[in-house]
Amino acid sequence: MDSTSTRDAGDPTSAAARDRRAREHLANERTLLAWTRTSLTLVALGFVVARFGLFVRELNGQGLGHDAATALGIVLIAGGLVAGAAGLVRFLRVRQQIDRDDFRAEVWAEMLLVGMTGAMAVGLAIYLAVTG
Amino acid sequence: MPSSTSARSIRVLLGLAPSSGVAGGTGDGVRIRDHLAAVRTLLAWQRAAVTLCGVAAIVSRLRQHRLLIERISATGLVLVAVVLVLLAGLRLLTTGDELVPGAVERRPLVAALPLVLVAVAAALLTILAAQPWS
Repeated sequence: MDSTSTRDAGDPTSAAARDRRAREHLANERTLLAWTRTSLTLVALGFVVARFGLFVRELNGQGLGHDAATALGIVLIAGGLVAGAAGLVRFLRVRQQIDRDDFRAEVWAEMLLVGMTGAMAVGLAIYLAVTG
Repeated sequence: MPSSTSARSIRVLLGLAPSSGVAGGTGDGVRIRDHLAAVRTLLAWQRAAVTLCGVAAIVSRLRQHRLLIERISATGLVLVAVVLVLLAGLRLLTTGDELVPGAVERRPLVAALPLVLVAVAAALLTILAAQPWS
């Protein structure tokens, strides 16, 4: 941790430094909102997948595939919630880093999301290929 | 792209190296906002992929007895989404290189990918719409 790094040669409390920090905080906040949208999208997809499974089950009786749809939907919704939590943790960390002038370009939350989304999409592809 | 990109990406994943870059040149303030913008771009790609999955789920559930073409199309749409997710992740990991002045690299394949994907999706949906309803 190199907390002594100075990004501004001048006074860190100067108006320019304050403006720069404000822009960084606003960018961080936009990023949190993007995380929230992504999380909600995952939750909505999970809801659609689970609901359509129930709908089909009511139409033509029981089937193994429809229980799989419900399970897949629940996994998607849980994944959306995990993504939202990861986005919130990332937001708080970056906020602290900006205030301490010690920014680290971390990507753990993004890679977690890529892994989760990829895995769930592969599951959905298998489900759609098997059950149609 | 330097030959060590994949090795560096793995180091980034393990937390051994900073992801975007290389401070200097444009200054850290710009670097922070550039990194956050790159993250938002990744998230937009993820949302596009998840939306594609939603379209596929709806397509495959429109009717009780589905045609083979619908099954193939729905699966294909989701596989396209998988490719999108992975490419966007790779893109975030390599964005750091592009933020370095003078190291911007043209990648026409990646740039044209959205157009290709939209074309594929439109073609699939057109085929589906042309199917007779049972």
